[in-house]
Amino acid sequence: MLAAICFVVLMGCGHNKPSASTTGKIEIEVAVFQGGYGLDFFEKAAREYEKLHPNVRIRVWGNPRIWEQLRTRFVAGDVPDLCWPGWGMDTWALVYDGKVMEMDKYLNQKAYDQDIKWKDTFIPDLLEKGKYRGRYYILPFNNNVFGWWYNVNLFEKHGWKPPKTYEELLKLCEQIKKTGIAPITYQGKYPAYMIRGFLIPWVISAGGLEAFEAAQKLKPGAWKSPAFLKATRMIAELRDKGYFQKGAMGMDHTGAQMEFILGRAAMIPCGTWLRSEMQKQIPPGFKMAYFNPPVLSNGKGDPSITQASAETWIVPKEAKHPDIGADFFRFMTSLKMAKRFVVEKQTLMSIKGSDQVKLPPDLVLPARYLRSAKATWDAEFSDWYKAMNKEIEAAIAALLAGEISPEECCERMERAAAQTRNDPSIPKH
Amino acid sequence: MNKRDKLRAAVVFLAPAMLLYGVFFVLPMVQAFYVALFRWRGVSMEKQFVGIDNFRTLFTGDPVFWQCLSHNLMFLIVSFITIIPLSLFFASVLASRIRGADVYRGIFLFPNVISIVAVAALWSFIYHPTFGILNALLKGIGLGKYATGWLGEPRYALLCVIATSIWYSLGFYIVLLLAGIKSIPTYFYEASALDGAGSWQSFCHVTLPLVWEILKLAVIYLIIHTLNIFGLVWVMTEGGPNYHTETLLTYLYRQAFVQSNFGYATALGVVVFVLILGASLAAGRLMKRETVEF
Repeated sequence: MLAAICFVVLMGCGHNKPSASTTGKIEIEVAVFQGGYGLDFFEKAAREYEKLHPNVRIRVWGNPRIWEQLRTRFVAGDVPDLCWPGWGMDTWALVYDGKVMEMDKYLNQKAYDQDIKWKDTFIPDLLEKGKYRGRYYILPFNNNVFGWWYNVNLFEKHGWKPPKTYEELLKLCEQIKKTGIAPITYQGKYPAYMIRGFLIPWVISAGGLEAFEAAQKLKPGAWKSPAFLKATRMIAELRDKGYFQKGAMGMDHTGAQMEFILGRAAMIPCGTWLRSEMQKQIPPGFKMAYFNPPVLSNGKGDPSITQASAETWIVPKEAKHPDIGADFFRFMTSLKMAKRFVVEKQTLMSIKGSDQVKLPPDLVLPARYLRSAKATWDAEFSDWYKAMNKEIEAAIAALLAGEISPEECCERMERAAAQTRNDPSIPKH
Repeated sequence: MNKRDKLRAAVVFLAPAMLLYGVFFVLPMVQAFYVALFRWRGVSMEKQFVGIDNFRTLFTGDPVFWQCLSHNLMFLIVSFITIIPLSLFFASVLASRIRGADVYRGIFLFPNVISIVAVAALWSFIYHPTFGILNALLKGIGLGKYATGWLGEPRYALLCVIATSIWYSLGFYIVLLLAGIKSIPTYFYEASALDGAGSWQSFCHVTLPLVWEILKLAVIYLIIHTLNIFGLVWVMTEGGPNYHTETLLTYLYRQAFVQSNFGYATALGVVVFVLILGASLAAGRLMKRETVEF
């Protein structure tokens, strides 16, 4: 292992390709995380861009673990001109080390196909996420809404209705449990789902968005505030009443989602990628629908508040042609291209108005929730403070496994926050 | 061929291998000791020298490290008390020319030819809370009340992973010892039988002393294997729930590749290196016996 790490470092050296091809054209390199969306959209976009700019050639490449290659390339200083580094890359670490281009000057340009500034075409909350010390670095592309999903077939068969409030949820869970179906399942191996699906929505409901923002800003005591205590108690209540599927703690994301699809569990927290992730397993006739996590009926937080996150792209600071890289991204986020991405790839986009197309059925509700949300939130702390995030995940896992009480859970999260707060080597947001 | 030519030939033939070994193994290893003295995110050349700070934090300010260490020791102890006696037993039985010994040997070695990731996935299904065979089996024999979430249960998760690891590696140790036992000349057994030794006595006084060197090798290998355990844990539990299956190397991986603490992770790697070296040397010394020549 030890050797492997250093091997990785060594491999980064001596990697140098000429950026101008023999035809005299400027060649730029675009490295793309090859997840569920493939590469074809970006390749087609590249060909179209080349037609508009005959002196440019765009080389698009990608793979499902692209961050492993990019990490060494960044260390060596030989970087692509634009990249989607994927979920495995610590993109903020790149920002802290000065490896990401400030995007302000590009964002103030005119949008590709609208008469406004480029930066005004984005859903503002999603663009703001990429800001650090007053400058924009990380740009959003496609956009995910995260909430709960219910099995429409099951609900229709039994005459259940998706609960709007926590109180309704408790009543519904009791009814579901009587049928022998697990009311709620979750992706236990990855506590991020439980944090985004249970903890934070209920913190916001109990204490308002400001209770969560204070926690993200590491305000002393914020992680054990009354709002957090209330939210952890709600999780413990569902746990103690047996409303979570037995054994969910040991399931990975696809395992738990499989339980949901097979109708052994009625509800599950997940993002809008759920259908595409389970496409091959979903039986014909299976119907599911999105709803925002049920909130406290007398909660302080606005019930319309919705969680929205984004897949992010960067222009590396040491890129050979950063202007072209940025311009190609501006092209890909034009309203026309954004709409096309929504239709082709069945996901939402962070560009305003890109949902004005015929949306796939699973996205209609998330898009509606997002549009009518008074505010949106995202678990940004999990990207900013990785060590703290791991501790918080462990605390939530321990709470759900019944190892610790809500009070102990909050104490533990607060301790993790304090450790990050007091560590001067961790850059703060 | 004179001596000089021989030497030249040796150098020519060894040089490429030594060079590759040096560049890709020894050099990174030496470099690791150096990297461990830095705070380094591992995404650029930005490094900050912090001296022995990483080691100090590891030993005095990081409870997870000690938790990981205890899990690895648990791995070592449980594997030791199960694998060594079991593999000795099966190896002796298989060596005694029972019918179908080759078939059994194949069966025991079978897990070893499957990729570790496949083994982990396979056992994740066995332990699966809703459709796993283990729970179905328990229900089938009327012990349904013991059916549980296994890998998601803080109490059982580590033991479940250890059991899988034993299943996976047992065959290797059996074959290792079997080779040792098979190489013992049969006249030792004939002589001991003439002297009236039963099978237990001939095992204790003939087999054991004569495979001792191989057994030592097996123990050292076991130490290396259990302190270096990674793939199985990473695929089955990723160290969860709540660190209950986190091991030194899953923690190292997390620190380096998830939390971007490459310097710290490298320090941890150095500690694991020293630990394995120390434990192997200690085991070698503890098991020192006069070698029986035959």
